[in-house]
Amino acid sequence: MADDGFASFYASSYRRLLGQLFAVTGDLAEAENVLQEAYARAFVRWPRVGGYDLPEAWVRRVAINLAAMADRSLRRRARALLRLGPPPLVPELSPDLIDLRDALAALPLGQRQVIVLHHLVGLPVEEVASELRLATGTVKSRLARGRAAMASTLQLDWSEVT
Amino acid sequence: MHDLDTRLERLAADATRDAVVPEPEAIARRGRRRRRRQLAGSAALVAAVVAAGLVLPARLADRPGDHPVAGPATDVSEAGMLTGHWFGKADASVFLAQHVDPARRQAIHDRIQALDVVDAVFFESRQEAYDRVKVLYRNRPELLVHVGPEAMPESFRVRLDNPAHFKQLFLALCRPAEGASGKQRCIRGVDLVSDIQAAVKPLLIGKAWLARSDLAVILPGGTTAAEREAVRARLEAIDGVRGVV
Repeated sequence: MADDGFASFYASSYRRLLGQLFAVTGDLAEAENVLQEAYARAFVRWPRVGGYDLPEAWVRRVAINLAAMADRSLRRRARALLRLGPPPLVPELSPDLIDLRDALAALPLGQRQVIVLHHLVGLPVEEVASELRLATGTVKSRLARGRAAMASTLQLDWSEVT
Repeated sequence: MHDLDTRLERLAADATRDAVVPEPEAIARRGRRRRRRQLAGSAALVAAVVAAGLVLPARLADRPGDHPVAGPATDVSEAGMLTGHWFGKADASVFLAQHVDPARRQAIHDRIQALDVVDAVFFESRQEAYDRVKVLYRNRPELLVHVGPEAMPESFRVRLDNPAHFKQLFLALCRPAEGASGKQRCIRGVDLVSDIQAAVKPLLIGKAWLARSDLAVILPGGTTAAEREAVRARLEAIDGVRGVV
């Protein structure tokens, strides 16, 4: 492969984005699938995408959108599950992290997206809004509701964090 | 650093600790495969549209002498979009092979014209085919980015005295495909002969409707209820129309 920067961009960002996508999907295999698809799309458009300030943000946005689309086709996934058996086990996690993952996975997708972008990726509310094409008020209310739901599941108090 | 932030970071890090990072070459292959599929997809779509002649089952359009009560063809075609240039004009398409010299083309034309069941023969050039497809896909220009006029086939569009006589035309030019996946074998210079009505129906109409109806009039997006009723009234006024659903 010609060294046009794609390989090094890929190698330096893959694991980080995979963690973020895992937090959104709650399923490592699904996260790998949408992320690799997003990188594949970035690759064929690399002359353009590579010129962006943050190619990583482009890949993340595409992958998050793909994850949302996959999330909406629950019925298809249910059929695939019947055909293929249970999904592969998620990686070994300590009990508190399993609780965290489950609490996150119990949220509606919209809340999961904003929580991950704000608290894990570290984007300010305004950037989360533009990334997901939402109003900032929507982002704030989803953040608050998502945090409240997770805090009550985990019996913690996150009401003060923003 | 907030508690939620750090916990999420640990979750992300721990969950992906053992993940295998695929080689970048694998990602590149996936991207190229995807792009090839897309190109093939848009080519197939264009081929299907060309094959259909952008024509609805044309029995409703006014053919001189056939349906004296039908309104001008433009009324029906405006309502029934895909305003196929061939709307109401042709029943069959004879697609020519890629490189056919003018003499051979004339010979094929004469052979079609000489058939008893043939009413009229029209020629469509690559450019004309391309212009039609361009109009049809004016809202999806990306589909045509990789396709130019040279990708379009030349064709004769044939009007039969009765569309049920397609088979006679077909057998004059081709032998049926052998086996389910076989390709038609046609005389030199002819690539494919297709029945416009048969080609269009499954493209436009749900299969369930095929059993219940003979043809569809497709309304464009944004059609008002009043316009819809006007079209319905026009359809019901046509001799030989038993019902409009």
